[in-house]
Amino acid sequence: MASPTSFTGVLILQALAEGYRFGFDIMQVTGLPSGTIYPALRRLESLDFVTSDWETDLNARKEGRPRRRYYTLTQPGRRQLKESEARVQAVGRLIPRRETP
Amino acid sequence: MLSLLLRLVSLLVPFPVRDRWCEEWRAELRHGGWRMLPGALPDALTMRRIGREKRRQARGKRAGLLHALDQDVHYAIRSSVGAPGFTLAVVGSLAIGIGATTAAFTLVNSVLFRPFPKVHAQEELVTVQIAPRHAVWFTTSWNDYEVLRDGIPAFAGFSIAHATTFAVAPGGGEEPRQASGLVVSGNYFDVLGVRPALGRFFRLEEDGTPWQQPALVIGHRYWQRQMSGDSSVLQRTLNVNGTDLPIIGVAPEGFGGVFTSGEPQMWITFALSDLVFRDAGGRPVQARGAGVFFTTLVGRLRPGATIEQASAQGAALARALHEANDRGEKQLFVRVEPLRIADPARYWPFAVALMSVPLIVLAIACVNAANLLLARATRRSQDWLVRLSLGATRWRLVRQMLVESLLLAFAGGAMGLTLAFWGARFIQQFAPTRDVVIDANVAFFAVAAAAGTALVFGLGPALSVSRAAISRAPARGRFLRGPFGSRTRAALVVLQAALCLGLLATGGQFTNTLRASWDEGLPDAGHFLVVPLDVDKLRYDRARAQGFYGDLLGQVQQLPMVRAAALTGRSASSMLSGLVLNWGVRVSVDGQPEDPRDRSLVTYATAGFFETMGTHIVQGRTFTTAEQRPPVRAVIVNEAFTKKLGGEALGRVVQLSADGPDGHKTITDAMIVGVVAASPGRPLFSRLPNVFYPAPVIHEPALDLLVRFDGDADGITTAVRTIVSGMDGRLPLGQIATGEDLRRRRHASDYAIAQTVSAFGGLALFLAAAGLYGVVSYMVMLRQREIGIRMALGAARATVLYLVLRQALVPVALGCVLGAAGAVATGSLVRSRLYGVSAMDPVAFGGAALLLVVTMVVASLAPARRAARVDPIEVLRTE
Repeated sequence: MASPTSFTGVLILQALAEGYRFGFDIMQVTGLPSGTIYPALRRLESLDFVTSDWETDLNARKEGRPRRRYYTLTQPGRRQLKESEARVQAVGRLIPRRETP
Repeated sequence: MLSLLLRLVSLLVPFPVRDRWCEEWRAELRHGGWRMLPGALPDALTMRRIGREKRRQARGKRAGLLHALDQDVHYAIRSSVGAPGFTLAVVGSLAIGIGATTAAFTLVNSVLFRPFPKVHAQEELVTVQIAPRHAVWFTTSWNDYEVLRDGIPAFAGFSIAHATTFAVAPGGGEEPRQASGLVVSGNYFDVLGVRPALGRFFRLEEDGTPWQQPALVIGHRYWQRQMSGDSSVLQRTLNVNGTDLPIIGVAPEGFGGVFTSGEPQMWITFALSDLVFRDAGGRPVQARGAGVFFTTLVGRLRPGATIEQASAQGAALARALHEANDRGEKQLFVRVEPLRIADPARYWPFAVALMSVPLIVLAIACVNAANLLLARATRRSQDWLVRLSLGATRWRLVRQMLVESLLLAFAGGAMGLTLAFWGARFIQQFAPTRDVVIDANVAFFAVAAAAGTALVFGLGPALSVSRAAISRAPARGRFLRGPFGSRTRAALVVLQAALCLGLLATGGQFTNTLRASWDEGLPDAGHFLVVPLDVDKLRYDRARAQGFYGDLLGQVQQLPMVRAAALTGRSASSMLSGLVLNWGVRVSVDGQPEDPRDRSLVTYATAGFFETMGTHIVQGRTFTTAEQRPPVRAVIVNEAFTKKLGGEALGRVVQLSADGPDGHKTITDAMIVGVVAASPGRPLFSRLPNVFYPAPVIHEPALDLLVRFDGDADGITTAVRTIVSGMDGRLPLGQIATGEDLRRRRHASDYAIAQTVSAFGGLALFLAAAGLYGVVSYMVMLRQREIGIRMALGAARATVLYLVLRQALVPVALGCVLGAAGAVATGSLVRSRLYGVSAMDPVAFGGAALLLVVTMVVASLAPARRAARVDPIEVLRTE
């Protein structure tokens, strides 16, 4: 599906590209509500823009918490991000800046 | 709390990824806390949507929910036929459960949903009652009837009926007998819309001028039994209450009137009402002069008229009614209500109580079926795994099991309906006059019960088995653990045992209580006879009645097997049947009439009464022969009356008064010559003050002859019959009964309930035993490997036996405790119905618990022994 990624999707892809890797982290950095982040992540995953991986048991146990699910950008994901960024910027240029008096 | 919510939401997530999803969210919640939670729901929904899209992609077109259902049905039939033992066990269990429930429902159905038999368009019929605001009266005077009949135009017809007993002398050497019947208005059959089986019903002129055209309609059963269904009866007459009446028609089969107890055997019109009605002086009168009497008033609404209209028209008649009869009530209300056997609003608690016991049996049957199904599904786990690996969906597995359980349930339902057919006859004891039949309602109920049952016992196993097949790592084609946790299965056994003990203990307690209450009152009831007599039907006057009864008593006392005999008013035997009626005679002390709320019983009793009843005279003496002739000069009182008098009773003078004919009052002074112990009958009534007088104060045409005899009851019955028919061949004897019979009759409904609860308890025990057998067999099968290893390691057979029995019987013991608690609760319900019950009956409880435990031990012994015979080498070889 070559659907254009939503603004939310772009934000999440960006966050992942910056190295924020799991749901809560992404939520913190984007400021989007949890009800937006997760469904978007699922969509991105089903489109193969991101993949997920479980952190090792050992690691989680060391920090005394349940295992985290880490998301990473795939190659198509990176490409999509680039395209989307370009498009978003283009859209930004289309809108004339209002002069504030 | 959070994780519980999460768990709940996770149900939306497709099953294969659900656990992963939960784990991820748990980690996220750990970081973000509860404010993360709102995201879970949209996330779960997205997961679900994605899952669905993927499936659709994979499959191309989605298969319908019912795709290839016929395969499932075929497979279900084949596998059921292939395992006859299993099928029989499940179908049998369900048949018993569904049969019991359906049988109980036939009774509820007959009361709530069926019309009075043979009555046409019952929805147009209404009953009318007149009474003060908060009272219920079943009495009406003839004037009331006329006012209502002429004053409510909403009625197309309005009828009146009075139930009575006729003395019928068929002639031709046949014995006279009593027949229940009704005095009715001429339009009675027209209003009810009944059609005759033979001949015709009353014409208008037959209810016009008294005795102008006498006519008699007989009931179908009477026609069949007493006249052998002969169609020439229409040319015959029948001697009713001493008068020959021509038979004009036969009522249809099964027609029992409305609100009559038992099926009436004959009907006459009010034009002949002086055959039945008497004035205060005992002289025959037409209904118009008889004051108020028991009636049933039924009206048929005109087409288009409503009950509300009839009610309003009736309400407007209140004043006219008040003037028509002077009953001293300030305000009378006319109530117009739809005619129905029972008002659903008032009947439902009874219906619930009636259905609850069989529903418990059905619940036990469901638990059984579920357990057996589980066991078999586990045994077939190989099949499931193969089907899953070949691409079957979970729904297909669930559907397969549901189809099987539906099939089994419908087989059980069909058998249950057959059982209900017999059960309904048994249950008819509760309501002998209703036609308890299997109709469309009942059939529908049975089908619904079967379908509901299938869901209840099939869905749980289906879901858990299919889940186990998907998620648990199978070893050697078998799930390592049972699909239901063993705790769930134990809980089911606990439940069964508890329900079972509850029923058994309640039934046992009930029966024991009844036995105990039978031992009170009358001593040696088997050698006590009551012969009800009524010379009123033959229109004896007072002198003739006295002569008749005097002679009768004399002759009966001469019989060799008679120890004592006495005459008494109807109240004595009605006391034995638990009903107290005070006929006309009242007592007053020192000219002070008694407080009407605290009135003493006043009973006619000849000298032999106390000996016959087995009552001890504690002070003074019994009556002399001279005192048994009127006027009354002496009375005997009981201890309760002495207490009421205060101080010494012997020698005190009391006044007996009675309303004679034409409002004339008879008052006689009588001296207390004796004091007796408690009155006979129920303990409650023996505490009431009672005065016995030895000679009739007023005309009392209906008396009971009481006989205390030696030998057997048949001999004395025949002897009394011979004496009576020798004195007057037309006089029918009422139902002759021994004290035993009276008690049985008095307790008939209680006894039927006790019997039913016990019967259901027996069924429940049988089902629970079969269920436990299934569970233990299943458990043994699951643990075969473990047992084999234990034995290989040196466990003795006894140890294995003990192991299995312990696992089977611990839940049973727990169930006993719970069931006992439940039975204590129902016991309090039972106590509210019966007198003289101890708080808890240890015998009934212990007996029921013992029976349960022994049955359960036997049920689990066979599989346990099978476990003990497990050959360790065999088991280990298959490893």
